[in-house]
Amino acid sequence: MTNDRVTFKRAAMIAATLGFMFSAGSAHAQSGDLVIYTSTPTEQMDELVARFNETYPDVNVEYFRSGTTEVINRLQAEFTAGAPQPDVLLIADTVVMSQLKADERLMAYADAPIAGTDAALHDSDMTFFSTKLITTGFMVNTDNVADPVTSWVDLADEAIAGRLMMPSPLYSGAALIHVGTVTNLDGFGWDFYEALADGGAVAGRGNGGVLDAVARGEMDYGVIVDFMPLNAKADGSPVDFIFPDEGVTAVTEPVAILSTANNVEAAQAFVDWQLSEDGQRFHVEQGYLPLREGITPPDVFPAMDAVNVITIDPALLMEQTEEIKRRFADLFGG
Amino acid sequence: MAHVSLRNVTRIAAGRRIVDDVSLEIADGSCQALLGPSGCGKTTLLRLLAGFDALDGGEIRFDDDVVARPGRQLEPEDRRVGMVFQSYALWPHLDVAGNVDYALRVRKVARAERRSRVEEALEIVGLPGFAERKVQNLSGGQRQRVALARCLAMRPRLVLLDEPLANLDAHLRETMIDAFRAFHAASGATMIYVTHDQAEAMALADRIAVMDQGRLRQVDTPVRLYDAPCDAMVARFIGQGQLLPVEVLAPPVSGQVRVRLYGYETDLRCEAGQGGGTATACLRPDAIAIAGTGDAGIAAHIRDVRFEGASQLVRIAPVSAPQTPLLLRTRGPVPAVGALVHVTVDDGWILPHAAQEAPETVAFERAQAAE
Amino acid sequence: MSVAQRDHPGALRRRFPDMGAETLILSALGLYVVVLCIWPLARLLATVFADGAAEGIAFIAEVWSGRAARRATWNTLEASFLATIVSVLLGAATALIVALTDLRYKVLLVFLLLLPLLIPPQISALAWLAMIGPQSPLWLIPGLEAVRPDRNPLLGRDGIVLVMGLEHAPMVFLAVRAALRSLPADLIDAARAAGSRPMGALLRVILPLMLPAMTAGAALAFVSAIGNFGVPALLGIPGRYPMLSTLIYQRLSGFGPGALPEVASLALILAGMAVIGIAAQTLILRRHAAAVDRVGATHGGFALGRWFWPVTLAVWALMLLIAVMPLVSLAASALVPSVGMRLTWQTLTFDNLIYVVTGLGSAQRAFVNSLFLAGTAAVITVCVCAPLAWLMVARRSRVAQWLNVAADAPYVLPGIVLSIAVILVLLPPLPILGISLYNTIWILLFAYLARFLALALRPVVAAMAQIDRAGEEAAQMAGARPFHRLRTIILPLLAPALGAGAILVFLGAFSELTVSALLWSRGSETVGVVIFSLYDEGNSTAAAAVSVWVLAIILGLALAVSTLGRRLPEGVLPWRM
Repeated sequence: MTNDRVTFKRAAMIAATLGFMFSAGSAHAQSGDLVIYTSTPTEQMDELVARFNETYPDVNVEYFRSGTTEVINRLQAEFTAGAPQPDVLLIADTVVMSQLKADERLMAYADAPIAGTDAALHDSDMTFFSTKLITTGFMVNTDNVADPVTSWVDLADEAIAGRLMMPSPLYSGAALIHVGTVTNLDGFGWDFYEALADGGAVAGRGNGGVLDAVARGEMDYGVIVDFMPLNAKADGSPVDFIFPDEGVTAVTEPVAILSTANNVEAAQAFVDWQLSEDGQRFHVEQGYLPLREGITPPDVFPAMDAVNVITIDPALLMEQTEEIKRRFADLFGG
Repeated sequence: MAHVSLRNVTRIAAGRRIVDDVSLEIADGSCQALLGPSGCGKTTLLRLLAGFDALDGGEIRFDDDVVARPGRQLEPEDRRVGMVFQSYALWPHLDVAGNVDYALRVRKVARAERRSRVEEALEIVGLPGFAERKVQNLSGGQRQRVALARCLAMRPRLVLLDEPLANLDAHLRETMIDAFRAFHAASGATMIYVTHDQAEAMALADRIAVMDQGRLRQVDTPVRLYDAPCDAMVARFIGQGQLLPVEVLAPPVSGQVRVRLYGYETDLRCEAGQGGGTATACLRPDAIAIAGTGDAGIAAHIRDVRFEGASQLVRIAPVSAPQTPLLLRTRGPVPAVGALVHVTVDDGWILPHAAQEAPETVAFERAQAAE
Repeated sequence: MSVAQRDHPGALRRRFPDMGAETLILSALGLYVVVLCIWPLARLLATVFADGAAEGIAFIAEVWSGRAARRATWNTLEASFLATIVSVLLGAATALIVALTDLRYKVLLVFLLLLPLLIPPQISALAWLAMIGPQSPLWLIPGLEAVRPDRNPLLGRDGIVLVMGLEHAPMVFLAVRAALRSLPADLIDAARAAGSRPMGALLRVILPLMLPAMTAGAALAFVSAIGNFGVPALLGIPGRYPMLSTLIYQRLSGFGPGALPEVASLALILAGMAVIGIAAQTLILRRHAAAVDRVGATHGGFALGRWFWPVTLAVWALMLLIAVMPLVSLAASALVPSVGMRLTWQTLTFDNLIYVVTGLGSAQRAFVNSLFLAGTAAVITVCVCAPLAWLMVARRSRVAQWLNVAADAPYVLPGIVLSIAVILVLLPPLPILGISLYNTIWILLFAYLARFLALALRPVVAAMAQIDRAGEEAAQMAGARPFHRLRTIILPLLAPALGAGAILVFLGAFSELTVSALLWSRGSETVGVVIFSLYDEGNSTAAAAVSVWVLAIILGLALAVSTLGRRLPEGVLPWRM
């Protein structure tokens, strides 16, 4: 491993020199190893790497994929031992990124090409950048339920809560944002979750488990991120995704460069690509909502202007993270 | 072929002296038996000789070489001692030849010589041609012989045997005793033999050491042990000795002395210097006989008769002491149970003085009375 | 010049008993166990006491008295205890039936019984979920539709008890069957001669004699249950039934390495339970481990007579239900295009199966990696077990017995705790070599060696206890030194147990999940991790497909070993009679 580091440190230097000698637009000169830690599903990550390599063929991408919290655990262990490995982080939610930024683990990339996207979605200090829009609503099993409800409050109904499954904020970044947003929302708060708990709602681990349980008919309803059930529906599963009346919460799958990154050039190239038209179109192909204006969303999604995205201040969530996790764990079997 | 010398050998375990100050000299090439009831320490003594246990006191020598001393120990691998275990301890994954020539392989003996020594050993124990056989397919007696052959091939200077005939039936035992004799003759090694069966010990051994509770009681030839036991334990253990109080009437004359028991007078053997007064006599069943009609003797009723083939073992209750029955062995016809007979005592031995004060005497008598 | 001097010139000069060879072996083994088993866990404990002893103890007390910890501890004890009862009942009953009756096709029956040994736990849990879930082909059987449950009844305590009980039943089965094999026929015949019917002989003679074996098997099942993660993760978390293993996982996942001190404190509880379980097992084995003459005749078995068909049907129906149906359901979920679709002739597709081996790079790498890791771990572990068992049992070495206890720690603790500990010690570069094993496949090997040592040690130690001590003493008398005796006498006699140990380690390591979850990296994926990840990502059809391939490989290997098994000595393959 040490030898590898020496090799691509040298390679990075050469690349940087070359990059300096040639003008901007020689993005293809980036090379060397790029280590990414991500919570993107494996299949999609493989496709993403392949697509990225079409533009940047000389960059050798290695990635570690797990649930957001497991990724962060691993990273924290590496910080403790003094040898963090990745160059780039691509995980589900901005709250974790804010925490890392506060710990001064991230490197600012001032020249990131964010034009054409909503600046509010990115960090004001340019340490992390959103790449797509993933909303959280709820799904339903169409074999079991003929006439599904359409709003969040209905889920607290006793008849429905007992057949509802949710992802847990202890495992899923998207779930953390969701619970944080809802508990800070007027008319909901922790009372909403207590009602769900009383009604018998069940919390698993990640979103995948929710999809599995609802699609197989064990549960009727499931709080879940949008692309999973919509893609499953396209493949033939008896499911549907509901954008609730009150609105959806969202995570943006931010990407960031670590302050300890080895291959900064390639890392910046990766960020560039994520925000570029090619990258955004690729996200659409994978079934996600794009950030960039002018890119057509996937067919399975309805017209997005009708959907209300409820946002929350990441700083507030960062403060409340521990409390959210503990209270949720207490309610749903910690 | 080693002279074995044990001096004040002691082993303590769990607070008990399992072997208590045993001193014994075993002649080169002889066959020595260690005989005694279970728990007497004979097996421990054997293991001390083998080197599996360490002694806590005393010294063991083979031919003037110190083999064991407290804190110093020659490992079993180095003692050149062969052992025949009670369970035979054959190795199931090796065939007969593999078992027999194991020691030779360890010493890196050449294959040709190994094979010839294996065949030689198997011949001697009476299993010619068994080299290729699997151990699992052998009978108990055959395994015993393989264990012997294993010892033979090693050419040890000392052979230890741990109750080797215990697992065999009576007929097989006879055959095996012959096999042991042949083995002893062929190997010339000193043999030390542990058993609780006196018949075995007497058949094979040149000398027998009787042990009890860790101590040596008497070390002697089989004949002398039988004829002249030195204390009550030996007397009782060997040959169904019966202990009776007798009254010595006169000083000994050339090893014999007149005594009276149950009102009957007879001559018994004793050691020189036997004093007068009460003494304990050891009587064997074979030395008591039913007198002919009209002859004098101890009056007794017949309690029961046990057929033994060549002879019969009769239990009688003396009229003057019906609580202490006696056993006698006879070849002739025996009257019916309950009949009154007169019995004579033809031979007996007075236990030496020292033994007479021993409290075990009384205990043994009581135990006998309870039979 | 005496005979002794001529033959062994060095012998007379020997002052102390020759412990040289033994000490050497013991030191090497001690180093192995300390580096693998003690060092990582000690480092982990150090994080609890990083602030000092008093604070550490106060902290532990605080954690142990917390509501979540108390609840999880109680649940762990409850579920493990109940699961152990299930394991003992099922394992002992089937061992008795197999050994004592004239049922037919016993080899197949035993193989089905021992399937849980071959199948990784999380695949078991997935299969059971699939079987009882609404999409299960089980409900296609006419008449059962009426009992189809709304919510999956497996979620929660009852499901955990059932699946864990079934999963650990083979341990009890193997222990009891071994004991039955060495039960002399005379004892049973004596009971029948005294007038007892077979059932009476069973109750009054056989069962009491089987008590030590059943207790030992129960201890094993209990210890496995408290450390089990896969089943409580899939059935307990959504079932609102927290257990210590899932609580630890949840704390680590949710709160990061900052929760390490709390996690270490919880792990101490598990360790304590395990120690009690193992102590009980050791005590019982010590009292009843007589060297049995295995060549004695074993009982031929009772004829069932008029009970033959009812028992046969009952047993095979049970086997079908608990061994075959779950696998069928799992396969069914792999053959549909998307999760939740019912399997029909129209929806049937092999795309998933094909995709995971041709198109999914991570799965391909995972198979190769897992085969390599499992095979290597099996061989190394077994090489270590033989001398360690010999030192423990034959030489009665105190140190070796402590090493045995130390080896149990990484096996009993939840895998995730072990993986954190391993990361802490292996992330920095190694002292002499200067390279870090982190992010390589070798860190996984390290963790597997630590984890599975205890698994192989158990059968090997048990077999060592069976070897007649006199056999080794006879070799000593023949002049063989320790190494020579190990090689020529002990190893051949231990060979079956070593083979069994190697197979157990291979099976355990092949689709291992909990330890690998934090230690893998791109290029060193393992099979268990890939299945779990796919499931977590919502791609459960792919997860099921990989599971099907795993099962095919494992069963294929089992079959191959079984056909070779005719040449192998008795006892290597647990399912051969």
